[in-house]
Amino acid sequence: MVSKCGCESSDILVLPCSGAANCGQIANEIALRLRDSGAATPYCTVGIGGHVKGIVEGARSAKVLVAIDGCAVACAKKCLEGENLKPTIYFVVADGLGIKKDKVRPKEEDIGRGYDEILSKIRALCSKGK
Amino acid sequence: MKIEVFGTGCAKCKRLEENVRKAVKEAGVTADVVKVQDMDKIIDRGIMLTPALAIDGEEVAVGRVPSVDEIKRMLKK
Repeated sequence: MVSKCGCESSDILVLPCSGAANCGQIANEIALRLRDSGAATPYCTVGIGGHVKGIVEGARSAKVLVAIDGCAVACAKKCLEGENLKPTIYFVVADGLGIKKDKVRPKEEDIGRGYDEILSKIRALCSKGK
Repeated sequence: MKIEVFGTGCAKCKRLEENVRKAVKEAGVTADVVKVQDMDKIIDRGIMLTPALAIDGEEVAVGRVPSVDEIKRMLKK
């Protein structure tokens, strides 16, 4: 959470799957880098999947939900669907970046490519005035 | 009834508190309105966005400022 009052940070929330495989961790790293650049705020995907009321209410208040799944199992998207939430932007790392899902640590270059992709999608959305 | 307003004191947080106090008055309910400004306590509650509002321990609004009318409806539930 941002150290200042978080009142301005609920506009764009990023929900990575944070799964165990390389693709899930790339999703997580992308979310953290979007925070570092001030583009978006990482949020608690598992909290939504676990139906934690405070976490779910926060997601409902967001203007933009960016769900990043590592693979086609689509756990982050399913977490949102479980609370009747739909991502504004949706990205699957394995398909979108052409990465083979594996039980290895993520590669820096793949994280960078993923970050660029998601950032461009967020910027394109914001330029439309949404 | 216990009403908690979570936030560290920016304009939105203050507006939420004002709306809550106004709603309590207009709804005619007896409530203890508590402002939680300590960030550690806010995070420990699982609230990741502020301002936030909880009624009798249940989070009813997070990351936004509900209107006075909406808060009155929440109080009646």
